[in-house]
Amino acid sequence: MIDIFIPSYKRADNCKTLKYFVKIGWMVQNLHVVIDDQAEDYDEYKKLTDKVGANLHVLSLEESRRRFDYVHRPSESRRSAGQMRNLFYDVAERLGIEFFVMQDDDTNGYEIKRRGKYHRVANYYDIESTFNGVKEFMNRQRIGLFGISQTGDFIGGHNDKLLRHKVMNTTFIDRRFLYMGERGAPDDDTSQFVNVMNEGLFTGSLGDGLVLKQTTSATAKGGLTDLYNEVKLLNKALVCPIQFPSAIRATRQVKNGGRLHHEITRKYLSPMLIKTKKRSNIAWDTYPEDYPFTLESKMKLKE
Amino acid sequence: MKIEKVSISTVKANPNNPRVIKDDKFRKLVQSIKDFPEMLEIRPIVVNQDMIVLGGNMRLKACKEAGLKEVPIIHADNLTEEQQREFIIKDNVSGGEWDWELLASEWDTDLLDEWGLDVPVETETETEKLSKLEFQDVYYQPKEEPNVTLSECVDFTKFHAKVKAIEESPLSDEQKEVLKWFAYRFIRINFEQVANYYFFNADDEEQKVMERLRLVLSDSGLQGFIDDDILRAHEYIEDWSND
Repeated sequence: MIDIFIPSYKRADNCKTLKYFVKIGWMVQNLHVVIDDQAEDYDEYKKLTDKVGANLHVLSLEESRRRFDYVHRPSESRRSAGQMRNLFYDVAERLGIEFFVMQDDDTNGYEIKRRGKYHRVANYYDIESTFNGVKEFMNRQRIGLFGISQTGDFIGGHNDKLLRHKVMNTTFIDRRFLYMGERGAPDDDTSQFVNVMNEGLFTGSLGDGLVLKQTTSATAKGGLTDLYNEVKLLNKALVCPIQFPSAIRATRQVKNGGRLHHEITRKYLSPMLIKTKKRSNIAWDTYPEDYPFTLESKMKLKE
Repeated sequence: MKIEKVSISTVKANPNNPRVIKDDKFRKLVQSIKDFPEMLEIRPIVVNQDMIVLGGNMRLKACKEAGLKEVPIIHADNLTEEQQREFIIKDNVSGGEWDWELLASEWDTDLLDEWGLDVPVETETETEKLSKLEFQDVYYQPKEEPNVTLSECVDFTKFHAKVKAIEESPLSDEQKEVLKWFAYRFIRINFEQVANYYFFNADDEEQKVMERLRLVLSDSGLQGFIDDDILRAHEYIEDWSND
């Protein structure tokens, strides 16, 4: 059974993801709720996880701040476990977990989509088999990162080979291929995926079949909502345009209260995937200069 | 034809003018004239022999609103009545279309709006935008473009502008050299064009190096093709194969 890490913040009373996976029958010992060590609602989280038998991990805010870059470094006033995701890799290592899923704490569930159209609500077997399918795929292709898209009213037609080059809230991680990259720490958000893609490492997400139900977390209490509203999403939206000004720009969303968001022009961001009869460079470890796969800064490793 | 400055009271609005400008757009035009009056010298109001406006009715109205006493005009006396009617329309016909993507990336959209350009309001949802990132197929289908060169796959426009800004700065040569490294972020690679070049124009040795630079992602199926794996991930979904 695949382990699921759930970063959570101020949602001890409503950790939807935990509730959902318990409800569908996921083994509770494979569910890991993660909070920071300065969370004021530790007792509530402890009560919650004890009640269902899930794991609770408390990570050091100070360590996260010390080890990772300024963009993703949690601050005193705006901390959240969501911004400490980099430390999950250590927890996984300590527990001997090589492959895991990172899942936000506001998951309402999954759906099955066929060619972009809603088919039915997903059940336990759909989720388990798809998760296992992605794991086998990543293992075979030797890639470190993949995802499942969030549902929505997809436009433009679909076919069942669809692969979307964007990942939402379900992220699969193979710890053998930890990605630090050249321009920042992993954060399991867009900035990580655009970094991976820009370096020419293969990643993506399933866009059909199993998809994550669209959440309304933008207005829900807890999580990163308070932070996003306070800073108008500047911290999130401007990371990618700063990193990749040739491919990504910040635009204002009319909906969502005029927040800024990043808009990616894919053809300027990352190489195209093509089918050939010659060599393959899909595996992340195809070329030695792309090693080492480590969570530590490559610049620091050189020192 | 000579541009001259005349009293604004001598210029007559054309009663048959088919164009109108109202409210916010008119306010912006008035402001634009106040902010940038030299624009009128470059683009004067066109009048006929009777001082009736053939081109620039809205500008005249805005000049009055802006409190100007004189306006630059240019005479188009030698036009027939038919030609005058033609001019009124053709002067207002806009040739070509705006490249909104270019405008949005190279211009300040707030300024464009202030200058009276109808910058489209974004109405797409996040999901709609994301769904445009999709491919119909897992793979990009390279297009044959026999004359394309690799150097044409790279756009240096912004990079050169940044380098120019560095060069014009009072920094030392050493500082400038270092800063230029950072300007490389502004080099834009068109990876679609790169894939086209790789597939049709590059020889095997060049392809090898392009692969190593990860300018293309090449799936030769050594570990099984990716599209098969994507299908496989769906395989065990109940009733997936049923229509």
